[in-house]
Amino acid sequence: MPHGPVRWPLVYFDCHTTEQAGWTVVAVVGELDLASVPGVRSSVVAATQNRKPPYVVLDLAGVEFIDSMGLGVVVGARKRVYAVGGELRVVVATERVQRVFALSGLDTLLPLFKSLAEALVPPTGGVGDGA
Amino acid sequence: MGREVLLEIPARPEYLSLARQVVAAAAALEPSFRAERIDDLRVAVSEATTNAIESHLDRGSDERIVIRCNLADDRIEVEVFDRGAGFDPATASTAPSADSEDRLEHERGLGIPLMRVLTDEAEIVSDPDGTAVRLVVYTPRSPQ
Repeated sequence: MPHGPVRWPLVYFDCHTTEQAGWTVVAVVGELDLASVPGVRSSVVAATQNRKPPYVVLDLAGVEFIDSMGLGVVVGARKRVYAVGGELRVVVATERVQRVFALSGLDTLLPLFKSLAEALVPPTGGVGDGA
Repeated sequence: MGREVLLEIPARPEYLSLARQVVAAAAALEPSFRAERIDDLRVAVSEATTNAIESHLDRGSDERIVIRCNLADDRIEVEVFDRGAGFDPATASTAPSADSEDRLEHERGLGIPLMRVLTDEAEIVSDPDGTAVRLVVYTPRSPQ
């Protein structure tokens, strides 16, 4: 069975978690919508349970499509991580995904980074400093 | 003369991607649509179809969601029909504005505002027997 995202008729989506430079990186690839958000949500839940306080990077660089369900799971991840004193950063690399964040106004409220390397600087101790 | 594409999908989340692909492919038949405009329409269609699928799931309905895509000379018009319980678009819950202090407390309520900002026209007609959402994007050369 090859690893990686699969295309329709199954959902085009993959999510995997790694530890990098003191952060738990949840990397998402594919399309982030009603069909795939449960996978991201459960990965974020696991990340917040496995480490206290959790320092989580939600890496959406590989996301090709996002709608309001995808935005909602990011907002939910932030709430979950901050509720236990952690920090969440979000990597948004593609123009079309950046556009959806901007149209919703969330680009000014969430700590967004253009690359994983930029997001992996040391945690600030619970308060995100957006880029 | 309009060219119409009719799609019926099971009310299941895994069919969302297919709905987006079909509408985007239909829009791409019009050469004057820029890729960015088609991307906007993909998101708007995803919002409307997500609401339709959820309304059927809430009701336990096995009926299909109908998506009608009409490519006219001056516009692309997409209609999404469901047989869910309906809602009042005027009072539908939407997330607070970006400058509101509790904006980040809301995980839902982003879809309808996005639909409206991503299209030239977004109309929602809903009653207890279902909802029809009509999304219109004009071609760049047409007066709006």
